[in-house]
Amino acid sequence: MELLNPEVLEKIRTLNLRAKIIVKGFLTGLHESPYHGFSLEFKQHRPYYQGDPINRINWKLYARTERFYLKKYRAETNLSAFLLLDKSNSMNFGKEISKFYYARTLAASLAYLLLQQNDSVGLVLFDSEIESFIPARSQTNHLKHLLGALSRNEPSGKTSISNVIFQLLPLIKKRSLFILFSDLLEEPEKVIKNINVMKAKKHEIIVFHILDREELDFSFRGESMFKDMEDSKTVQVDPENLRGIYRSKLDRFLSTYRNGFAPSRVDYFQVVTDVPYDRVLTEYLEKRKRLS
Amino acid sequence: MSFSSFFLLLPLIAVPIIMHFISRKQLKRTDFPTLLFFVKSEMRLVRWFRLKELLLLITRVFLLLLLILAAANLKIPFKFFDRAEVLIVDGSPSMEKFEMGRKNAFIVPTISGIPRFSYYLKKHPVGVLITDVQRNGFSEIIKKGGKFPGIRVKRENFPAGNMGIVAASSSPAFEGEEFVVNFKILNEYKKNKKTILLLKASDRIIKEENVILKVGDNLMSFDIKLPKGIFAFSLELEDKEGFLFDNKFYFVVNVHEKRNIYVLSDSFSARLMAALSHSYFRVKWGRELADVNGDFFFACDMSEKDISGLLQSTVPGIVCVQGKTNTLISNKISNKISTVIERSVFDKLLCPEGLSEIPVRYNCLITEGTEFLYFENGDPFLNRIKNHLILPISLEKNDLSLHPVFIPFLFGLINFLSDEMIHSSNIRMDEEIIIESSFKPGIIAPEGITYEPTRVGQNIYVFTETKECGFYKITDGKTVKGLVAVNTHPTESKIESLSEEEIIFVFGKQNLFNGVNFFLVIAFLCFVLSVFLERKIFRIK
Repeated sequence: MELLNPEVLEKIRTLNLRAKIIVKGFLTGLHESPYHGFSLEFKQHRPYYQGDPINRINWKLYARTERFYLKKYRAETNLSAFLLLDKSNSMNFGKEISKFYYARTLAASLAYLLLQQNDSVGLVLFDSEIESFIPARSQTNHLKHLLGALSRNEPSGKTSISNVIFQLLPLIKKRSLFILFSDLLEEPEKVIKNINVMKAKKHEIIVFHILDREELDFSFRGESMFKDMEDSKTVQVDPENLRGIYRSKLDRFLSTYRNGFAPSRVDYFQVVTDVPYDRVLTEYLEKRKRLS
Repeated sequence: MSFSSFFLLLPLIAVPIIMHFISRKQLKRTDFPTLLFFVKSEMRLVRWFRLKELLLLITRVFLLLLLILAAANLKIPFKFFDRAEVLIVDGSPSMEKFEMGRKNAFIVPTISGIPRFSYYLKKHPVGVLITDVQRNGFSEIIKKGGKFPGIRVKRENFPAGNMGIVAASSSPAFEGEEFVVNFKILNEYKKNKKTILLLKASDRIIKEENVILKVGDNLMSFDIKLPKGIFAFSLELEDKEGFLFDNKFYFVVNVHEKRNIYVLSDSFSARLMAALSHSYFRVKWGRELADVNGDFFFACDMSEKDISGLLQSTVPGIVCVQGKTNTLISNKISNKISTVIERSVFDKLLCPEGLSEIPVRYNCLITEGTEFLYFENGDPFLNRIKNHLILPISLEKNDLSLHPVFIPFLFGLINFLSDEMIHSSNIRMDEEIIIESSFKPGIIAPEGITYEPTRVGQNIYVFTETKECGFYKITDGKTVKGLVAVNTHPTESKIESLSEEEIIFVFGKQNLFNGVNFFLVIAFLCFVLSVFLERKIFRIK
């Protein structure tokens, strides 16, 4: 599992390979077989192994053969997922791994995983507007498009999730799963309100709030000039004096999101860029289970 | 230190400038996703920071500059600060003890001998006043001390003793005859003091004596014999412990030329001859008018009319009338002369329009009539016949020749008629020089500056600015026409009158405002400001 640490994976330059390693490593680590789909189409029988759920035993076949078999199903692609990746300048922050790099790898991994399960996956790259929109497809070679788009784009511009949601909603008619990767550096009330609008349209939403460890701890030392990565405003502060106030303000900001998403059952995960990718994927699968 | 030190230290100003640029380079720059969580009060926009940083730099440079200025001990070149430089010193003569300090001091002028402390202290409220406080006006300053901001009083004791020449005079001096110079020396020490006396006449030492002065007043004299002329005398003694100002006394002695008088009379009048012979004149007696010569003549037992036809054209004469009708009138004159002799007013006789100003001195008004001069009551004073002035006097009945003022008056009159008017007098510093002159006089003070005395009346001029002891020359612009010796008042020397009042120094807050301390005070303020700015810029609480 050490292989899934962001620091280790950073050495692998190809996004495709990185995504494969993450997903395969993640799957290998699971003791339980992954849930392959929630629309059922019989594929074949397989022998029962200890530990398999009893309720999935084909009793009719047992009656004929006096052996335990389980039915294996082919997953139907009726899930349409969109990966919304914030590519604003603020996502470029990070000492070793930027938030964008982390989010991009995570998005690629999820795309790979979803396509492995024959789900259709789309991609939206945005800052204050939608920069790149790739519709959801379930073909295996669709991954190439997605990874290509993810690789090509570098952080720029300001964040405006509200505006992006406003632009995105008319484009997507089908009930979909939206997976948002962003640092959400915007007025929380505005973001929550717009995401709730999406939720009201029967879409499922998972929010991965990408944070950097330094951003959380504010562990800078010495009088410094801080430049806002999005609007280039520069200020002079002493971080040690500011730390306490900063943290409390940040906590308030994060709890606003946490509390704001809870009533509308939006899955909100704070992801720090030093957390292994598999933990994030687990969060996703948990969500998938609930959706099924 | 000086300007050279200032320029040597000046490069130090580069230190804060270099520090400023180094610290600027060392400041970390961090890109951060958002400044949303920064508290406004805790963050400063960089442009404000730059401004404050610049202000800090200026403050530091200014601080260093002030320290350099303080170290270089430079004078502040602005007029505003002159007030701190003012040193007000009592200009009265007893303050000559502080002669050295006076060079750089502003000396309070005196008017009629009274220093104008109040006026100048109001004008220069911060400064140093040094005075011995014996003059009028200072006690008022002490009382009002609190009303002069920045002044505080410090008392210091007076010298333990003093020796000073308080007076000097001479008997009438005539050429070829010995005259006496008398002087009074005060010894204020509690024991006899040995000293050297030095008498100079026109800068030439004519007497030098070692003397022992007993306690108190010492009357001493020198016998002097000098040729005709006016001499500037100075008498000096040595006393380093006491005041210096009274160690020298100035006086003027006019050594007169003797006048020749011819007494024309049938009979020899021994009394008249004896009276005239004393000091002032050389007297000759004769019976014939044709023999008359000399500077003046007396004609006894003759009427004016009798003599008028016989008078020579050059020699003036005085007709002495005996037993005639105007005897009564003549008798009165001697009383009137006694007032005249006090001061020389003879020049007024030359300008009749000025006669109206005479009565105060003559006790009655003199007017011009058919005869040359009358008293207002009709008594003749001087008659003019041809080119001669006739003074009708009686010699026998009233014994005019023995009148104490007659001979000096006669001498003055002859000098006047001979046109040999020389002004010489001895005054004190708190007195004014009064000059009666037909020309506009100039006064050359001892320090060499020429002053113009104030005209206060017809041919009367007054000069009050006798700030220094010494000789004041009266000049018509070309030649010296007179000499006035000015000395301090004798009470200045009396230490017992001063000991009660002591010397008092009144100090202002000059330490706060002189160059070095002023720079240091401003530097301290700059330091406080720079610390404040530094805390504001580099530390946040």
